[in-house]
Amino acid sequence: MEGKSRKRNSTTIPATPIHFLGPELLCTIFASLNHFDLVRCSGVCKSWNKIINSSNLFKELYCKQRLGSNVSVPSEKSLKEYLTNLAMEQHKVALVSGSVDLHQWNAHSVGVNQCRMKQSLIVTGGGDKVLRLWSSGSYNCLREYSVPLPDPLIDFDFDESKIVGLTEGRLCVWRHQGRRSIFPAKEGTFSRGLCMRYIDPEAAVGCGDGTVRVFDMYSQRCSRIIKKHSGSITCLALTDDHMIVSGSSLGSITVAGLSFDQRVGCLRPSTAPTGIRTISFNQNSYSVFAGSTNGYCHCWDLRTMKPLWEKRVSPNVIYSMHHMNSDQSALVVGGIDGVLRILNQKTGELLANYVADKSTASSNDPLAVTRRMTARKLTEDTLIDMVPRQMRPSITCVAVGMKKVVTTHNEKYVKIWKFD
Amino acid sequence: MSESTEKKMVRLRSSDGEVFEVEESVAKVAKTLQDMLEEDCADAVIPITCVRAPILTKVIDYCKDQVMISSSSSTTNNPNERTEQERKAWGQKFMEGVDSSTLCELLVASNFLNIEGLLNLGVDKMVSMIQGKYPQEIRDMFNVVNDFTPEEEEEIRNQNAWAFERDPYYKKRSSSK
Repeated sequence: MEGKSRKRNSTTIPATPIHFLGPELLCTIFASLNHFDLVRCSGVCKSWNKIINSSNLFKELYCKQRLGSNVSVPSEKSLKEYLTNLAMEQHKVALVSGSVDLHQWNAHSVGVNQCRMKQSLIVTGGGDKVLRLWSSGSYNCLREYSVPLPDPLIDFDFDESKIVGLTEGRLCVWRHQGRRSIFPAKEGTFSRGLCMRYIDPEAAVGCGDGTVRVFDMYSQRCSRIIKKHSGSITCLALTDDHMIVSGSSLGSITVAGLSFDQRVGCLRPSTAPTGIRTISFNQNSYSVFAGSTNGYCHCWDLRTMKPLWEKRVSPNVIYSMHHMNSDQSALVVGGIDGVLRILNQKTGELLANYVADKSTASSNDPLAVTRRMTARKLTEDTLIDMVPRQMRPSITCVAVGMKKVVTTHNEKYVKIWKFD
Repeated sequence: MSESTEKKMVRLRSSDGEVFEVEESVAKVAKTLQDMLEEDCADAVIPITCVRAPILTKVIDYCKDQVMISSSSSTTNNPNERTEQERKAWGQKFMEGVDSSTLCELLVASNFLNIEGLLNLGVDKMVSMIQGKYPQEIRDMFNVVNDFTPEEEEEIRNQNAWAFERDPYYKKRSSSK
């Protein structure tokens, strides 16, 4: 067998033999993948991306899923929509299925009340002077951002290139390349900033005096002050088409343009006005969701400004609600009673609610950094008051990602609920 | 010319010059070689230009096994015939320990030589290696260079954020200035 192996050592073993697989072979392989794997493969390199996108693989997947029905092959755009919807359907099914892996880890040295999640990253803070960036897989702290100001952070948000934090009177921007900026300068500080959201290049801060102050994050100047409410602004949401939806402590919700001084209108709860604590906007369905101090959830269509539904989902204050950007089905709600609720975005109907389960919680080492627990799905007739308080610490913030929800509880720990 | 009872041998040369002598029946498992042999060029050494010796060895192992099965299954009550389950187990064992670069070469070889069974084994193995992995893991496994610009990669991720939701391997690259 040794034969003529004269050239063996000098034979160039291809460094990346995968490049020898032609498009046809690769397609044969890709054809056996599901839509999650296929999309990930399209993000490996340019040639794979080209092969996958110029093939009929997504269409074939679509047809396979619709087996039996008379399938007309959809356009590329609706195909993309279809795949997103399929993923979101799986997300929703997971959220209501009742099988939860609950983990909690010690994240801060003082209690924190805010969390955000994007792709696989989590940022926690609020109440502390430090923001921490976590991996949602390992709960490792990837980075830490401390605020060099006397006041703790109140609100924050982040994207791939920066984190923007709000303290009582100023904004702090940490950019990915490491440059940090704090503004406005001393004479321009605002009083009682309560909430903040941003859409590049502008950040909008809701203040205690009922105004929204809009800052350009690059020039660091306040570009406008919009008087919106008589009560203080407790929460706000920005839309892709540059509208600000803000809720006040007196129960009113107003809609205005971000860059032009125009009040578009008011969204009115039909119930007796109580403070609005949280607002969430779904860009795909144009739905505005609001949660109030009396446990009501409201939903309006922003295009028509008409109410879609209104439900009292909790006997007490709702602190936070959130959903995935592209998901139009599940809305996750958390509040003072500590029950994690999943609502149907279209009707407000309660799909599932969860609390931690004590059976495994107590068997864990309380000093461990990460604790594994299980969660319990409550049945319709469960009396929440019968569930011990330590099983349901108040949920101050929820952040939703694919098949998972992160919650903060004004405690040092942060919880992640993984559904499957 | 009474060679018909004797086993006819065929010689194959790998891309790196090694010559393999195999029974014709073994070579004929590969449809490409079968076609060539039927056109009667059996005396010459057949060059397999895109397959290196270690890969060709593996390919021949596979072909030999196929011959063994089919020859025994032509007799009645064949002890070597496999059930579907056994076939699966055998295939898994055959591909066991095959690393990613060998796998790619095996795929190229079985595609070129047109050996459907081996090609399917390779594709299945490849699929199992890719399933549930994130782009960076796939790149690492197959030595693929990420040739997207940070902006392009970001766009792909944002378009289908749901597929990348739990990606623990992704680190935002700073964009080229």
